[in-house]
Amino acid sequence: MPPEAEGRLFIMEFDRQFVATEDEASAVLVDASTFIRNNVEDPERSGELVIVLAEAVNNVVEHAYPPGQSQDMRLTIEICDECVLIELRDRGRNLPVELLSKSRLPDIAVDPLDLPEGGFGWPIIHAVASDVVHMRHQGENRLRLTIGL
Amino acid sequence: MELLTETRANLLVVKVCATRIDASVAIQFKDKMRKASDNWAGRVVLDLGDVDFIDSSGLGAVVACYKQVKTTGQMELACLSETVKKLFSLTRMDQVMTIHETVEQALDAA
Repeated sequence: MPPEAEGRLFIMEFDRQFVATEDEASAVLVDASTFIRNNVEDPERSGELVIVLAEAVNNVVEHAYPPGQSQDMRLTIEICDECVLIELRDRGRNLPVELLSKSRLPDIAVDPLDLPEGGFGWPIIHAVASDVVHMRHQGENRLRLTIGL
Repeated sequence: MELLTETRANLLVVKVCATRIDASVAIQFKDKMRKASDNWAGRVVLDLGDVDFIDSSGLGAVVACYKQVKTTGQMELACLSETVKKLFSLTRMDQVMTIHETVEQALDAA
């Protein structure tokens, strides 16, 4: 009998702890993407999930710890009947609250030579995730994304 | 990461020989692309046929290359995976860059 996760039928879980560096994250994201593609039937939705997951993980890698002092982070993905829950935990800097509400894409109606080369990550997360929750508890950041299926 | 360059008609085709352009290789990609398209004035087609996935750091690197080429020509894209297409539509970069289904289609568009 599968366990229940917050009232939803728990189906599959991916859980990985790793050092928050670009190389480690890239390797874990390859595995996590395979897990998502194997367990989410709709290829369009699984593609969106893979994109959002990478943006959320990269945000921790880039901002949680000072350069050269990366420590562990943990990624958990739960795929339930009706949604996917992605949770990221780290013990780095508190996530700046303004990022949580940053849902507007950078302006692209500009001179081509002025096109933005960054600032896409959070707007992508907000465009796909139905719920974005951040908690800071006893020195730990927990970012939880809910994406409907 | 390796980039293969080939001149076809009036196009410089640059094929990315990697499955991912992500944060871990974005700077490397940008540097190699700059070298590959340096001294070329005209259309450049970036063949992404081997690339399954691009994240926003990789996208930033693609945009940087687009801007660099823009000073002397035009960079276009070909052979995007469904997930890469989705990234371009989510960020609306599909409204900025010309995207071809195949390299041959890019050749025909000359």
